[in-house]
Amino acid sequence: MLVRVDPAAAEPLYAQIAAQVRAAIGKGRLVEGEQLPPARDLADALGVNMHTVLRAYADLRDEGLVEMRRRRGVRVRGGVDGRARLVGLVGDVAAEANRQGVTKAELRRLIEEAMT
Amino acid sequence: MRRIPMMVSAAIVVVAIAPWIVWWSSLPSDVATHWDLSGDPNGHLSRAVALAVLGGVSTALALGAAMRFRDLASPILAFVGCVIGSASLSTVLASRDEPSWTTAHLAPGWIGLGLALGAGAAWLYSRSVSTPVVPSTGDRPTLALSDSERVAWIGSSVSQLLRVVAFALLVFGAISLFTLPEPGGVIILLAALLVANFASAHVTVSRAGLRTSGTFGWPRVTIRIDRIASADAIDVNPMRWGGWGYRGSLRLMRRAAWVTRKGPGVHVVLTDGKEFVVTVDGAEEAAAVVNGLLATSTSR
Repeated sequence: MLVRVDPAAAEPLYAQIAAQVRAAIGKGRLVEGEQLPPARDLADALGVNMHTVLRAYADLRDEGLVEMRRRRGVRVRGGVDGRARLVGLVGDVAAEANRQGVTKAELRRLIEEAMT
Repeated sequence: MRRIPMMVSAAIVVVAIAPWIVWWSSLPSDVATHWDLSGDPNGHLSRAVALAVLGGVSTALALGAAMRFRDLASPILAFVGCVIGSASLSTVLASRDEPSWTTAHLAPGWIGLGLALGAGAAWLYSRSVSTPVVPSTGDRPTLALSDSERVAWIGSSVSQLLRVVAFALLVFGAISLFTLPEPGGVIILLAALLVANFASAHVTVSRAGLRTSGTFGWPRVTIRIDRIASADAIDVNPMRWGGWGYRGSLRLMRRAAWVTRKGPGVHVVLTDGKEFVVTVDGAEEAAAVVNGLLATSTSR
C-alpha cells in the first residue's frame, strides 16, 4: 500500500492519510479483509506521529470502511468500495463548498434537492 | 573469472577424495563418522559407505557450484561442499592407523577449520557471481514526488507452502518432544519457527530506505536510500537466488536475496555494485517508489 503525504499542503496530515486509504478502497486496490499496516509502522515510515495515523484510521472506521479489532489490527470491511467512493465525493463537495463560503444549511438544502 | 571457481571446486574434490586413496589400506574396515562434543566417536560406517557419502556429496556439491558459478546458489553450494569435504578429510585422518573406529579421536579444531575453509571457498565463488545489469533510467518505473512529500510503501509476500511446512514441523516437533531423545523435539520446533519466520516478508519503502523483516520481525534488513543506485521489479526464481529464506550476504557475497516464493520481487542495485532482492506483491510499485525517492534525493 502506497501512502504519500505533504506537510506543506493545507489539508491536515491525518486527512491526507485517510483520503489515500479511502481512494485505494474505492478503486478496489484494498479489498475485503486486507489489513492496513500497523499505525506505528506507517507513522515511522512517513515520519509522522503515531496518533496522526490512528486518527486517520479512526475516521475510516467512523465512515464504516474499516473495522478495528484488538490483536487483529485494522481490516477493510466487505462491500465498501462504493461507500468509499461516495465518502470521497462528499468530502470533495464539502471542500468546494468551504472554498466558496457556502454555509452548512445551504449545502444540505442543495443535496436534499438533488436527491429528490 | 571462470578459472578461480573451477580451481576451488577441484580443490574441494581433491581434499574430499585423495586422503581415502592415500590411506585406504591403513584405515580400519569401519571408520568413525559421528562424534560427541569431546571428540570421541559414537557412530561409524564402513570405509566404502563413508567414502561414498562424504566424498560423493562433497564432489556433487563442488561440481554443482562449478556448473552454476554465476548464480547466488554457487557460493552456498561451495560452502557446504567444502565443509563436507573437510569432514571427509578429518574422517580419514582421525581413523588412520587406528585398529578400530572406537579408538579414533577427532581434534575439536576440525569443525572450525572446515567452516573457515568453507567461508573462504564461498568468498572466492562470490566474486564470480555475475555482475548486475542496471536498467537505464528511462526503463525504470519512477514515482514522481515533490521535495516536501513524504511517502511510505508497505507490502508483503507470503508463502502458503512454507506456512504449511512450518505447521507440519510444529506438530511433528510437539510429538517429538515426547518420543525423540533430547534435544530432538526442541530442534524440530526451532526449525518450525525458522520456517514460519521466512514464510512471509514485510517490506517498507520510505525515505529511511528499503526495509525488510520476517514474520516475527527478525532479521531486519535496512538498505538506506543513499546506498541504492536503482530499483526494478523482477520475476524471482528461487533456484536462481539460492533457494528460500534469506540467502547470501551483502557483506560477504555482495548479493543477498529474501525469497518467500516464486514471482514478483524488488531488485535493487547498490552504489557499490552489490545486489539485494526481496519477493513482494506489488513489486513494480515498490520499485517506482524507491526510484522516486532516489530522484528527489539526488535533485537536492
